[in-house]
Order: sequence, then structure tokens, then C-alpha cells
Amino acid sequence: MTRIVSTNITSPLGLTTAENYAAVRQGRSALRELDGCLGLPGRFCVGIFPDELRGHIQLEGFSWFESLVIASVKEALSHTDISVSSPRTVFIVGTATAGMAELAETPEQDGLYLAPGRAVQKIARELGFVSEPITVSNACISGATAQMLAQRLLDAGTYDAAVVCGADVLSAFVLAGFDSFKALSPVECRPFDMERLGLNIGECAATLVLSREVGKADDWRIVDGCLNNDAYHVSAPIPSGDGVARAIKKVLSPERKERLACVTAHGTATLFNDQMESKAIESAGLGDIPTTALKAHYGHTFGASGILEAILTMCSLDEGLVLPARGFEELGVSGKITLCRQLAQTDKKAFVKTQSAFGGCNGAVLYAKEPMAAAAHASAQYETLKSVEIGPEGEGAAHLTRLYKECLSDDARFYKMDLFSRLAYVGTGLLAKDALAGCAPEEIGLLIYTLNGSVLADRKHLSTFSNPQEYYPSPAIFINTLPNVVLGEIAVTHQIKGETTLVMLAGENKNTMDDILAATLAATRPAALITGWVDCESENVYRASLKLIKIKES
Amino acid sequence: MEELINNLKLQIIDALNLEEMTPDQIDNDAPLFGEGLGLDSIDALELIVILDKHYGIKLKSPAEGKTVFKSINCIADYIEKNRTK
Repeated sequence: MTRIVSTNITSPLGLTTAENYAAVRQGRSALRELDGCLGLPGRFCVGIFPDELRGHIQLEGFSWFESLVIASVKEALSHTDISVSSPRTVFIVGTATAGMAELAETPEQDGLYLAPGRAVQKIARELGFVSEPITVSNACISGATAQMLAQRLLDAGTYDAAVVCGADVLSAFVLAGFDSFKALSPVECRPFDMERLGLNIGECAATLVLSREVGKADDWRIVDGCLNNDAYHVSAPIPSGDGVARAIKKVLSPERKERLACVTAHGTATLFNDQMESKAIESAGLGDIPTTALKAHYGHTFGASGILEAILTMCSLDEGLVLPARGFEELGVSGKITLCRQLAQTDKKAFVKTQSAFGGCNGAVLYAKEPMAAAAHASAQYETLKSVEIGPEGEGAAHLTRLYKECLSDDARFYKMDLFSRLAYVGTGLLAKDALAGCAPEEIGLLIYTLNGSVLADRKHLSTFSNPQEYYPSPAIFINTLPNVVLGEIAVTHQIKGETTLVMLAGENKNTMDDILAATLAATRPAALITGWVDCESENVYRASLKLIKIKES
Repeated sequence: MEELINNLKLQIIDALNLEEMTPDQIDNDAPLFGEGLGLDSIDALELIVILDKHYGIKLKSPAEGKTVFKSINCIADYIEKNRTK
């Protein structure tokens, strides 16, 4: 079981966990309504750093995203004696967009600098880490994904300590994208409420320092977690909440459920997310457990949210309290759940944090202050059944279209994907074809590594809103800027309902990829997994190197 | 009207990446969602962008577009009555 030995929250409401928790306890919010926010036309309600605080955090020679991560990690580390210069300490960042905010000011040839894996490597060096850092980009569940990966690497004995930071910054890039999805609320968001109008976007970095060995008896612990995919749609959650419910049930035995103080829901305050989540919480048998949602204090902070909201819940349970869901008054969802309107008392010391994201992925993580028996895993053997290598073969992007038509199908969806997605889609399609029969959908997973991810789609999206007179951001282009969305496409096509994860590295580092794969297989024991490297630099420079592995029958 | 319909179809083919499709392959009265072209919720949002970008019509939500986006003819009618550019 992984101990949480230190935490930090760096947000518009403060620079430490204590400052942030005090602000939330007082009912304060970082959300403000601004005209002409970040050069975009119109009025937006956002959780943004005040200039003075931002000036305090911004480092010379580093982007805003990089500065924010460095501030949060440094403060978290100042409370522990865990050594970042030990090769046994790993640094993991969970982020949906990383440095995209700076994309507009960066010349095209410098594109690599912005690749999240490279930005995180620069941060890691500045902080003094010597092991290879890892970035996970699973849109809004990046925080949960980063924590689960850390726990697995510690459990596998690959590392002794992990520093996990979830972070995202507010940018015109993300604001315009969610605006095109008509998902933004013009006023402070109201999770699960009858009058909710959508989400607000915020910015934050939140850090957990995790250890396998060191720690005190009353440290909080990450007990268990489950990630999975709806296999329903790339942007719309499955209305039944099946994915989230499956994730919750997987981490909650009846004995664990007895000890639960609350559920800290994703609660973005969009019509679809909250409705889906209410059905999920009810069908997982948690309808009578207090549910809270904290997005009205910060907005949706994407990669940070899963860690930020977990830390705040730990602070409140330390005081014997469950926080109210700010902005909630009247239940506006059909799932029968118990939303907290006011501060409530509890003597229980465990909670579940749920998350859902574009790409169809969901996560549930169970935290507790006391030890809880961990489920024993039998070890399993795996074998590679098939592998595939794809490059442009002198044909550029047309090669992928030809492969798709000749070997797979001719569905209209293919043409809506960006090049990175097409490459991953064709590569996994060639492996999955006729090979997944006999595997339960819940036991098939995807684990893809990349450097550049969706950078080509990022630049295309940028061109749709950079001129305020020609402000027409496109949802179909924006969705491709989230590099994990292709995992949703693949999951829908092949009905893959297990864990789907996108990892961004600074390069094709085989050792790191092998470590992540081994730890993932040991913890999740899928019946089948498609994994490997997928990267697109341009229409003429791309490569996929993927394999299908299956569990060996004993 | 005929010109408007043809332009609209070209704009839809372009924005929705309906590869290798030509305007005369899209039936003016066929439903755009579910059956017919088989568009989904993201496509509905793209149609909102088309109305704004090319015709100066602002729809607040896909719900508002529900009746408008039934078929090409419905959209063209709506554009005729509400366009500001």
C-alpha cells in the first residue's frame, strides 16, 4: 500500500495545501467572470491566478506550465527527506494539455520543445531528478492515471518513492476548445444542480509525494484504484454510467464500503457528466453515502483535479468533516445520490475519488488513513502474439488511408481523425482484427507511448481562434488535440473496456516503456493488451511499433 | 436556393471531413443524424460553427439545433430566414 508522505496545492487560492484547504473551508472560490479573457472575444468565468501570485511563481526561462509544476513539487518536497537525486525515486506528471498554452508564441520548428514529455524532462532536471520522468496524458483522468502508475511502480519494486504532480494551466487553447463544445458555464458552475449550465476552466498544480517504506502510522494511503473505458463514444459519456460504476465496484469490497466517509465526485457540472455520474454512484451501491464535488472552488483543473480534490478531501476528513458541494442546491440528476449541501460530520477515514474524461476513460481511486487489506494478485505470464511496424513508405499520410481501406474498413470516422489518431487506429486495428475474440471486453487494455502526440492537431486548432475577428473554434479539430482521444476511438471500434492509457515520453526509451508495461500487467492482469510506440512528427515522418500480448494459459 | 443548398453541402463535406463525398450524394430531405449521413453529437456542434462562420447565425446549444438540423432542406430554410451575412 502506498503512503502519501507529503502534499502540495499551488492554485489561485494559495501556494500550500494548508492555504488552499483554509480557503475552501471558508467557502471561497477562485472563479471570476472576465471580459476578453486571454485575448478571446466574449465573457468567460474562469479560475485564474491573480497577476501578483503568478509573478511570484513564474520562473525565467520556463513556461508558465513548467513554473507551476516546479513551484508545487518544490513545496511538497520541502516537508520530506525523500531524495530526488536517488535513482530509486520516480517523477510522474499527469496533464491534459501541458505547454499548449505557449504554442501560439512558438515557431513551428521549435515544436519538439513543447512536447509534454520534453517539457517534463526539463522540469525534472531543474528539480534534480535523475531517473527518467514519465508524463501521462489521459485528459481529465490524467491525475488518477498518474497516481495508479506511481503505485504500480512502487508495488513492483521498480522505485521506492514517487513524486506525482497533476497540473494544467488556463489557456486560450483550452478555453476556445471547450467553448466550441458549448460546455462552458458563463457563471460559477453548479455541480449536480438543476440549474447547472456547464463547467468552468481553472488552473492548478497539485502534488503527492509517495513512498513504499517511509512514513507514519497515520499517513493517508492510496489503497486501490481502477481505470477503464466506456467503449461508447469519444466525447459523450455512456448514459448508464457503466464505466464509472465498474471502476467503483472494482475498488470497493463490502468491507471497504463500510468504512467509506464520502465520494468525491468528478462533478464537472455539465449536463451529461453529472447525470451519468449520478447513475454510476447509485448503481455502484453508494447512493446513501455522502457525495461531494469541489469544482465550484477552482473550476475544472483537468490533470490537477484528481489530485487536488483528493488532497482537499483528506484535509477535511482529518478534521472529521465532509465538505459541501459548493454551488449545489437542488438535485438535477436522475440517479439517487446523497449530495452534501452543508458541512457534515464523520468519523470515517476513507473515501473514493471518481473521474471521467474525453476518450471514454474513467477512474476510481480509494484512499484511507488506516491500512486496508490489499487484494492478493497471482502472477501471470504473457506472450507476444503479433506485432506490427508502420512508416510512411514514401507515400506520406496517404499510406495510412490505403492501409486502412485495404486491410480494415472504410468507415467515415477514420477521416475525422488527425494523423496521430489515424496511425494509432490503423496500427491497433491490424493487431486487433480477428485476435480479440474470446477475451472479455473488460479484460482488454491499451497502453500507448508517444513523444509528439497530437501536435499537428494542436497547430490546426490554434488557427481557428488566434484571430478574434475570425473566432470559429471547431469541436472536431479540438477533440483531436487531446492525444488520448484516439484510445476512445479504438475502444469503441474493438469494444475494449479495460484500461486505456497514453504515456508521453521525451523519447522512445525502451527501459521506461518496459518498466511501465511490467508494472501495469502485474497490477491489472489483462487477458490481452495492445501496447507500443506511436509517434507523428509530420505527414512524412511517423512511426508505429505495436504488439498484441496475451496472457498465457497455465 | 439551389446555390445556397449546394454551398451548404460543400461546407458540411469540408467541415465534417466527409471524404470522397459529393453534394449530389447527399439527399436534401434525408435525416442527417442516426440514419442517412449518420452524424453524431460532435458533428452537430460543427454544424453550429458552420451557421455562425458562413451565415452569421448564432445558436446557443445543440438542443436549439435539434429541429434545424433535421435535413439539408431544414437547414437551408432556417438560413434563408435568419442569415445576417
